[in-house]
Amino acid sequence: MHKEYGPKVAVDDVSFTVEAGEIFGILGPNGAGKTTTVECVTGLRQQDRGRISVLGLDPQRDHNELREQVGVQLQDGQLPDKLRVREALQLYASFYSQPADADELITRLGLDDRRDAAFEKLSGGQKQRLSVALALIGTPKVAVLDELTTGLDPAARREVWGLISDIRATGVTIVLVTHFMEEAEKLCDRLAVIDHGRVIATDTPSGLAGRAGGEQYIHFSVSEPLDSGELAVLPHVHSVRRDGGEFALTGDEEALQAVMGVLIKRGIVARHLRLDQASLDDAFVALTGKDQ
Amino acid sequence: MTTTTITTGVPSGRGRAWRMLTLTELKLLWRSPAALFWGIGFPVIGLIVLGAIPGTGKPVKALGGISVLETYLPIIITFMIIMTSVNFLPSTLTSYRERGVLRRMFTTPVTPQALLAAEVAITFGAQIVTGILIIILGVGIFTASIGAPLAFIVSFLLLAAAASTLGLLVAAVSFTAKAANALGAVLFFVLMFFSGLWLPRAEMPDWLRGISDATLTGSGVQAVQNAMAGHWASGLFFGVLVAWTVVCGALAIRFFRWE
Repeated sequence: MHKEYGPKVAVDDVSFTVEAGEIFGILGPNGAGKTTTVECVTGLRQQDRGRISVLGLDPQRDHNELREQVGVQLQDGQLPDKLRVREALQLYASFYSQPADADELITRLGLDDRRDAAFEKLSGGQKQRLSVALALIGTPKVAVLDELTTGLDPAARREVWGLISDIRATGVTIVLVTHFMEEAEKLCDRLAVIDHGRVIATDTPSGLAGRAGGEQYIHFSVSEPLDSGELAVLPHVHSVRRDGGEFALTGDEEALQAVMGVLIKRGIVARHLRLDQASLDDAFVALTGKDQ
Repeated sequence: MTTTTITTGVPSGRGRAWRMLTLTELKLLWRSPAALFWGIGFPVIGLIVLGAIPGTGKPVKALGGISVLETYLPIIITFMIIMTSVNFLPSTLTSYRERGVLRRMFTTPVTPQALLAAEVAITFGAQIVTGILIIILGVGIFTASIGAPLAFIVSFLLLAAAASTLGLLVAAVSFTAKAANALGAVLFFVLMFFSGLWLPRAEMPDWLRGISDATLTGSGVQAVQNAMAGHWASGLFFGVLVAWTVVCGALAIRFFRWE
């Protein structure tokens, strides 16, 4: 699909398929076209070119039916300040032909003790949980969640993550839009990386990480003098950075063995040794050329 | 009840949605003391104070042979209608738009138009209830009289309709709730001036009353006042009210943005 706003191309060429029952991530830097993509998929906007099919429905032509079956949590969607949690859910329940039970949903989302609290009195995490609840009140087959954890503190974020896994367990397909690597890595079965309005990769999180080249990152510090040139010439080692007694190396899977060989031969003890695999983060930087 | 709504599907669901929206908006109105006070309490208190002052029930020659109370009763009604339609209604709608309440509704089977309809219905309902309160006080307790009840009701409803569509137009052209509040406040003073709040229409110079005639509050007050005196106002005043309703309504539909 393709979407322009005047001269600005928001979505140039985005194409992906979401399988039933999976958590599909749409990952990309801010302004990459994620929200526009989701707005077209949910029928809020019409694409200029291309074809979208959601559960066999056309978001524009069949929008009434689509709205019954797709729950959407939009970025920055708020509620009236004085509206209470339970009232909001009961109100939204009345919009759907087969609503879930509001009280049961409140319990499931851990809002039991806040059911009579006004929207303005809720914490950020509670507001997001209510927002998820509103996306689920119509018993949708697909839930689209846009930037769910932006602006939440780490504890609240983890809480919401747990919730999303629980929802998937009930058989709802989830499309998760995010710019957080950690979130995509923890939750998504597969994800599409979008940048400048294009899908630049679609894969599992570990598959994407593998694309960063299977590099290993070795960090350690030494108390004896050690020349970085001595490590740089080793086979399997690709780069060496030294900062005082701290060493940071990259290399392939056999690099660690080679480095340890040198250290043992010289009788040098490596302290604080750490070995990292390439992460989704690295893959993202490699793919988009951007540091998040 | 739940089983029937599930099996009968969409049509009954729609009716239920509208009822829930109206009920919810009513609860929210109940929780905003400022709106209740300025929209309903203040006009009623104003009337009580005015009625309690000795002599306000006696006819005054300078006011065309009607009493101060009868001069101000239509103005108090207009005050209440303008306050709720041109100030509170757009303020609520623009804040809903600004905060994504309407956008969220777009993702559900209910359209934001349903919310708009509920909002207008609540405003209209509040105006009618307050109008009845004002009449009970003015006619039942104080000495005002309504000579032509049907003309009074028609005038009241046309004034309320013109004010509501003006309120929707304010909401349509204001990008933010702040802008809507500012525009609403300016309109409020202009419209209340032409209604005769500070200078009764009977005491206005001809050229000023001519301008007042063309405003929805000037015509509205005249129509209500004539109805109280026992006759229908000239068709011109009703024409002005209908024209405001049609023009504001068309412009509001043309310019209204959901996000």
